[in-house]
Amino acid sequence: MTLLRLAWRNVLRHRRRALLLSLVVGYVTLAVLFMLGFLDGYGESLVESYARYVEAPVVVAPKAWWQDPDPQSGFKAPFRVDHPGVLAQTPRLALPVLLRSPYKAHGAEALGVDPGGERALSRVPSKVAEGRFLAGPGEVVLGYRLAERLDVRLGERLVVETGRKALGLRVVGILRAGVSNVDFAGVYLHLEDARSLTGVWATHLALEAPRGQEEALAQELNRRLPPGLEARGIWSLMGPIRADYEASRLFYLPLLGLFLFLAAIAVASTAYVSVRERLREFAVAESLGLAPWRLAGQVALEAALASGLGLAAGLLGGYALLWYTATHDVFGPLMRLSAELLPEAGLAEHLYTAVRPGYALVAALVVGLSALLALLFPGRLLLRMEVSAYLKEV
Amino acid sequence: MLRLAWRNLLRTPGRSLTTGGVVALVVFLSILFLSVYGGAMDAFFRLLLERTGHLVVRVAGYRDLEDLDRLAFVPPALDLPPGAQVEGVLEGVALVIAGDRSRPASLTGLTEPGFLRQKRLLKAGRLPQGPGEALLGEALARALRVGLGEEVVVYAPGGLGLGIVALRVVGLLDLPETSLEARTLLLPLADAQALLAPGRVTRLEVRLPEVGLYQLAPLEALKARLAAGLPGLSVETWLEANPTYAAILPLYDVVMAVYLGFFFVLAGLILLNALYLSLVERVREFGLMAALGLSGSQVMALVFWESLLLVGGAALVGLGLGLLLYLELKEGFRLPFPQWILEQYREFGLPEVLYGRLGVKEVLLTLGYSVGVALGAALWPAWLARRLEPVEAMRYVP
Repeated sequence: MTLLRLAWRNVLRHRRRALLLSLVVGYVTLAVLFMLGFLDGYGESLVESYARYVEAPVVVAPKAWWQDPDPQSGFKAPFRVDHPGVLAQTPRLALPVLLRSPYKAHGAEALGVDPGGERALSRVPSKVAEGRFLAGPGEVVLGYRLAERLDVRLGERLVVETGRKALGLRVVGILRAGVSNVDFAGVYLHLEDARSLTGVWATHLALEAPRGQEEALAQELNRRLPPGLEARGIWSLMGPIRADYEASRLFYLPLLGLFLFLAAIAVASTAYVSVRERLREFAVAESLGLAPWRLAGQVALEAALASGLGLAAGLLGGYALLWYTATHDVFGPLMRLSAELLPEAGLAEHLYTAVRPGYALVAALVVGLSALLALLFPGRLLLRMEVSAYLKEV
Repeated sequence: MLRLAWRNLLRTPGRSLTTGGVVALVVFLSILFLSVYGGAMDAFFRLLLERTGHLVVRVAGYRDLEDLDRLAFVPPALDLPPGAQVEGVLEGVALVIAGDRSRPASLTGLTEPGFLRQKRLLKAGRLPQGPGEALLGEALARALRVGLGEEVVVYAPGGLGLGIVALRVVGLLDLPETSLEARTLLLPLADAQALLAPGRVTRLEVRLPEVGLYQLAPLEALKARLAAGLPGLSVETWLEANPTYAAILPLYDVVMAVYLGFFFVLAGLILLNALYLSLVERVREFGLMAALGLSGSQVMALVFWESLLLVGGAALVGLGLGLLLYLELKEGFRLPFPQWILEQYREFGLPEVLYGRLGVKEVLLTLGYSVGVALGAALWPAWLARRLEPVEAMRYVP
């Protein structure tokens, strides 16, 4: 306790110096918090997009369909997954089609859905900007950008062709989901219509899983499902954009480590000057019986306290910044441009940073690093100190 | 003053080396990031230019038009400079049917030069040599379960042409983006016209020899000349024809400048800390110099010179190392990510091998930041040194 009080007093002896160090450590803490929040926010936005709009938390399909996603590789007969971890499930039928409006033709992958089952799993039904979601066969709902390209409006008819069969459907809803795949390419028709076009029951089963347990549930199901079927969790369903997320983590995490290290160097550098200024003081303390390793420990404690001040300031500023970017659409323009550029990537138009208490622990590494470096460099000065030489100084 | 500043830096070699090392590291990383980012952007845009041509001629107001009748036009003769090439392209959408399978596809009718450009993407087979032959994206062929020599029926209703045609698959294409590969069908322009719009094209692509990636001035000049003689048609540079991509270019400059700023602020704070420590250690010395007649502005100048020398030397070291690495990068490199990530990046049009690019603008940006950091960090310590009272400073005990 005495050591702590002594260290604290020494930190406060040079307030300007302590303030400067706080600025360095605070800045690094803020950068670490923001970057971690941004990366996690990006990941969460991708999970949200794919789990609630583009795919589902977990998807079960015949292995043949995963290899060759043609309707003919789908389920020929009704199938249901019985597992307590599955909170809801609904069959879906994905089919490649040619859409023909009175003015234009367009190729797309249509999704045959059961409107009731879909509401339990997906947010798409709640994102109808004009009209309504599907109520029965003979209807189709389109993403707004696709509707613009096809030049179709609510109430108009659209021909859906598969090459073997065709159906005339009425446009009953226009979607505005804020997720690129839905808005640019979303085509939803009733499951019964999709079945009549393809002759199969469904291509895959979409399952609801507890948040964060999607991959575990998929693995568990893979142990229990009949042979020939395979379950995939949300991260496996994501496609190429997952690589961008993983690459961002691989790139930024070492960079954050470097930031923390540089801040710790600044702290150790200040501690070095502070020790050199006080060598006589330390010599007196040692001659009075304080062991050199305890003196070195005191220096490490001072470094930890000085960086702790900056950490506290950085945490305050960092969490305030994260709170702001988690509640305001700061990255909206950037995300909208990215979605425009990569319409098939499944990017959402909005990105909000994540706010997690665990970031503080990562940022707190700077305190440990500072103490370690202070022990290694200025601390070593004390361990090598010739007490008699400094006591003789005038 | 310069010699005095230099001597002062050498008095604390450990601290000078550490602080200079941080600045050099930041400059080195900046040069590295800018080279890599520039290389990635170049690869992205080069692919776009290759697909679009330098100038694109389309029907005026084509962005608001949806039907092929109004998008297709009879290609006029263009007055082009020597060496320039023009190619007619007809694009449309169709359902490609093979046996009991079908897939929607984007049809592109090309002339011979257009096919020749696809040669390096040819995974199997050959280029079409006559009517009735087509190239399919490998993923599309796999989805349709067709191979070389087999026939597909292309169904494209609603146009001015026949609306249906049978084509023999003579080649398979391996495109960087699987999603594009799964919907690509290339056929001779004459076949596409018979199917969709006889005698017409949806765009003319103009390619100019020896015009660099970002050389827009000669394109603008030719565009102005061509546009005057093409009523009802619009002429666009490749960037204008891709407005979303065009929006990225200025954004890229801002994002990179802000990005580097984060690093330099950290370097600046560490430098500020080092300069302040140096000042604190030499308070008595500054007091003595002031007592001997050094003016306040001279004291300030000394601190600024120390900062400039330290940052300048470190920046030159960082820049030198960065340029050495850049020389390696410009010969080609792979991003240091696992192979699966690099393969997935191909889906966004980013090739596995990139070529670093560093321009004068990027070097000046880095050096500008360095000088800014040197001056900005020295401001407060210099001001403190100037305000020292000689008598008090000489009695100063840390």
